[in-house]
Amino acid sequence: MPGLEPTLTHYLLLAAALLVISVVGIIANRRNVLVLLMAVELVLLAANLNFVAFSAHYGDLSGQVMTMFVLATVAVESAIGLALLILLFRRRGTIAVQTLSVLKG
Amino acid sequence: MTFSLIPLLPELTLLAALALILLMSVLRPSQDGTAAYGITQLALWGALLSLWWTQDITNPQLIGGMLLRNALTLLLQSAALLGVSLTLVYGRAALIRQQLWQPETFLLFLCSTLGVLAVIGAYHFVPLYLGLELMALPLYAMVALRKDDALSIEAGLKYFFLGALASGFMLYGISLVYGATGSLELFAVGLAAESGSGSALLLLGLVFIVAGVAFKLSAVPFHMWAPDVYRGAPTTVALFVSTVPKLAAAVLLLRLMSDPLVSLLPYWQGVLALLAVLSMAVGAVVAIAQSNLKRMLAYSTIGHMGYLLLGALAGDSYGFSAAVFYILTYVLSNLVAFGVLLSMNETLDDENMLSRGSDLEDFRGLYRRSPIRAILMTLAMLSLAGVPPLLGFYGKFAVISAAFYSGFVWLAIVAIITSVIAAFYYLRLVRLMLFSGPNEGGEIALPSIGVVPCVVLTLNGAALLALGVFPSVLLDVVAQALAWAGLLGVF
Repeated sequence: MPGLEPTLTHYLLLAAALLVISVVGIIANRRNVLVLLMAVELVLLAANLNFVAFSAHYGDLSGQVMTMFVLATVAVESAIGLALLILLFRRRGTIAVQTLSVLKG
Repeated sequence: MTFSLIPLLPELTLLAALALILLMSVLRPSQDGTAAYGITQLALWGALLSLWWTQDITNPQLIGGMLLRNALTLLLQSAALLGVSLTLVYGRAALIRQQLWQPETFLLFLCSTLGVLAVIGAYHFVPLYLGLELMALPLYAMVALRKDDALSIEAGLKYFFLGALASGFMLYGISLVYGATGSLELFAVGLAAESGSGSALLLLGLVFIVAGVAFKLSAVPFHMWAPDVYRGAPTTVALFVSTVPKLAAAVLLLRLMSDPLVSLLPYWQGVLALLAVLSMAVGAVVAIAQSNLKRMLAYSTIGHMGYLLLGALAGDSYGFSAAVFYILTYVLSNLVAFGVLLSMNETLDDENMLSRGSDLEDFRGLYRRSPIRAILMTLAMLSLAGVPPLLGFYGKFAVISAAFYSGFVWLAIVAIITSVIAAFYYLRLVRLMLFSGPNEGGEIALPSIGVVPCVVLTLNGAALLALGVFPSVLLDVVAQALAWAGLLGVF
């Protein structure tokens, strides 16, 4: 159907929406550290969507190559995040965000 | 496209050492860190030598223009390698005391160092982003290295979440810049940005990238992680976080400002001026309220990054050479301050989540018990405060005059006022060490410094004084490096 095909703008808006969702998720979430981890990964995926959309728009492959690299770092990042989360759970017995408040000042 | 691997010898040396340590720790899981420490030091010095051996500044682009190696990157990569080596020399005894004397510790240090080298050399957004992540990801693990210490884990998690968010923002900014210019090569981005295509996207991208860089520099308002990380991390790691990655972040800022996004200089100046004023003010005022030396040094770092931005935002070659000179003086002074702190016996009191040995009170009357520690710490504090004739004074002088000559007179005045306020808390520690009686709350035990760290630390402290008396030595090197780098068209 003409007129309903997604254009560059649609992809950019979707990516921006993902970015907003993840920032809100980080600020509003007071309960679970796991949700924070998901929100942080979402930022990178929003950027990825931008790269792919612009790459298709310009007919330039380097944006898609960047995406592959970013996907790899997303995996590494979540591995480190989960490892830290396990450490926290072992030490404190909970992964609530409020427990992360000993250091301040 | 073919290219030679020889110019990449420094990076390959570190990579080989990394693989070797990884292999060793798999083959003999229960060994301590002595062998890994030796390999790490050898690799760092090997990388430093090969850096100078393979350098060819007439041909600055490596791997088809992905990486740069010009006079400036040569200088800063050498500084980074030297910084890591000194960090490990000073931290050796503390790592052993804290039961972190394992191969994995050195693995993470090497990984992060490799990332720092990549960021300093990056001339394309792919190695730039990958270098930043390679630098930051091991740091999150290093901060949480004391697995039994709740403070260390909490600091690690905070650093991880804020850092991952910041690098996400940075990446989002890069994607917008890519969208505005259609290229990931910094040089091509510069050409496209100059022709003014897609300037709204470019500006939005700039905002996100500045946020990412400001986080790496711990400039206000992206500084929240620094005091917690310094306080919670093992002190050796805190020393590393406060020095070597800052070199990379400073180069990143200057490179983005000088080549690809130079057409946006007025916007850069506006944002950076704001960040600089806030950082200098928060760094000076909040540090006064700290009773822990590590937290105090964290706020001191925040303040110093404000002065660095002062040099950067001038946007001309004088400002850039002032900024590079400043970051070098800061790293040299901070190494001495943390070196003395690392020689103290830090103990943990897990019940009350407190640790002894890094509070200001523990330094009371230090001169009578250990004159060498007190003198070196005094040198470091005076240099950080910017008291002539120490090195730190010329760093401050250079950035403030750079801001003054590029028309930011009000910024120069703010910088002078905040440095006077900041001098209060540096000198307070000096007074505690030199002129106060013994600590009534019980004195902490002072282990012997050890011959090698003592000699190196003394040389490092003497360098603060010697380079302060003859500042033109280092100033000329920096100006010369920038001139050579600028002659070939790429910063």
